[in-house]
Amino acid sequence: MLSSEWSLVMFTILVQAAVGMVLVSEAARLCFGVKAASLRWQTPVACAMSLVAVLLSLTHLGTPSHSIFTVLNIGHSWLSREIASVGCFSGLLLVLSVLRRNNASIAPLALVTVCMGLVTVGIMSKVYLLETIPVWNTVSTVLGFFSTVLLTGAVVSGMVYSLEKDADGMGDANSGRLMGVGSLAATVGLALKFVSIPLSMLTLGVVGSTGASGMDMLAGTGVGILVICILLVFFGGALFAWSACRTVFAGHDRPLIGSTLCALALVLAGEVLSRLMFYGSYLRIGL
Amino acid sequence: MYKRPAFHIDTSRCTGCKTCMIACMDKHDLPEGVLWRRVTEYVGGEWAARPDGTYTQNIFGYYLSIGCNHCQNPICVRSCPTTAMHKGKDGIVSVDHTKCVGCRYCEWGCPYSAPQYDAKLGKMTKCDFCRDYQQEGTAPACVAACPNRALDYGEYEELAAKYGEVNVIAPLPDPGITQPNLVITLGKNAKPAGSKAGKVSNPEEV
Repeated sequence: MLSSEWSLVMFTILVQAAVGMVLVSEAARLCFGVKAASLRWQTPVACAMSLVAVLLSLTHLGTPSHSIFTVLNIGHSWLSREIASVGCFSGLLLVLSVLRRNNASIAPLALVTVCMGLVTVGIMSKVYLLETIPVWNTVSTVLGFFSTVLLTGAVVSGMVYSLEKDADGMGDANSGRLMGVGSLAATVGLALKFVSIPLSMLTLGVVGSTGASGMDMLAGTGVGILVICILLVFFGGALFAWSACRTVFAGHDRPLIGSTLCALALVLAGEVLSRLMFYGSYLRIGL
Repeated sequence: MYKRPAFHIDTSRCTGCKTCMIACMDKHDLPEGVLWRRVTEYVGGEWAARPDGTYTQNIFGYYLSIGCNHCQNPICVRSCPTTAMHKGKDGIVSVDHTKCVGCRYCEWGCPYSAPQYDAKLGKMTKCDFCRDYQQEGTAPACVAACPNRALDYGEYEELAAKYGEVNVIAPLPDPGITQPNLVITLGKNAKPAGSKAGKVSNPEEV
C-alpha cells in the first residue's frame, strides 16, 4: 500500500507547504496589516523549500541531465506545465525575497506570487487526473492537495514565525493576527482533508485487470496506516489551531513554540504517510 | 510508409507460447524485465449447481499478445513533458533518447503498458514496429516468430478490411481513450470490454 516514490512525495508536500506558507503570510500582511518586519523569514524559507523540492524531484528522473527538455511539451502535457509553473513560482519567491531584503514595496508582486502558487497546485493536481487511473482521477486528489496547502502551509508558517520570534528574543504585537490567520487556514485545511479522505475511499472500488481492487490493496496493514494518518493529521492540526487560538485570545505576544513544533511533527508525519499511500494506490485500467 | 501501422491478433489461435515475446526481446536485445510485447493470460469461471443437483463449470481462458498499438491519440505522447515520445510521419510512436528524461509519466498513463523503463539507460523504451525490418520489407520479429500465425501486421485499413474492426476485448480498456491501431479476431471464449468475469492470471510475467 505504501509507495517508494519518496522524491515525488517530498516534492509535492514541500511545494504545497511553500504555497500555503506564502498564502498565510501574505494574507496576514495584505488583509490584516501585519508589518513586513514581523515576517522576515517567511518568504526566504518558502523559497528554500520550493528550491529543495525542485532538487529532490530530479532524483526521480532516470536522466536528470535532460531535465531542460521537460518544458518543451507545455502545450499538451500537464507534467510539463507543472514543471514550468513550479519554476515560475520558485523564481517569483526568489525575487520577492531579494526585494524584501531591500525593503521595497511589492504588494502587487506578492499577490502575483500567491496566485502563481495556487495555480501551481491546481496544475499539480491535474497531473494526477489521468483517465486511465480512476483512483486518482477524482476531485479528492484536488481537495487533498489543497488541504495540504492550507494545513501544512499554516503549520510551517506558524513554526517559522515562532522560531523567528524566539531568535529575536522579544514579543510582537502582530503574533495574534498571524497565528489567527494560520489557525483559520489550518482549520479549513483540516476540513478539506476530512472531505477528501472519504471521497478517495469511494474510488477504491475500482477493480484492476488482475482482479484486485483498491480496497484489496487497502485491506490489512493499509487500514491501520490510514487510521494512523487520520489521527496524526487531526491531532497535529487541532494542536496547532489550539496553540494559535491561545496566542490570539490570551493576548500572548509570542506563539507557543513547543506545541507548534509538536503540531508540525504530527502534521508532517501524517502528510508523508498519506502521500505515500496516495502513490501506493496507483491502479491503472487495462493491462 | 504507413499511415496507421497496426497489429492484428487472433485470440482463437494464440496458445500463449510467448514466442513473440522472446523474439522481440532477442531482436532488440532487451534487458531482463523490459518487455515490449507481453502475453497476458485472461482466465475466469466457476462451478455452478444445476437444478438436478449436479455441477457444471464455465471456466474460460484466452491469451492476448499486446505490444504498442501506435495509437491515433496516444496518451504517452500527450503526457510526455519533453516531446521525446512522439508519433512519426510513418505513424509509429517512438522515443527520442536524446530528449527522454526518464520520468516514467508515459508508463503511468498507457493502459497497454507499452512504454517500458530501462533502468540501465535511465530512459523509456518501447516497440518501434521493427522499423528497420520494415525498411527491408520483413515482418516485425514478433509476427514472423508466431508459430500459429496468430499475429499479423500492416496498414490499419487493410487489416480491418481483412479481419474486421473489433479492437477491444477484456481486459483491454475502452479504445476511445487512445484509439489503438489494433485489430482483434475474437475467440469463442472472448469476453467483452469491461467484463469482470475474469482476471489476468500471470501478472508476474507481464
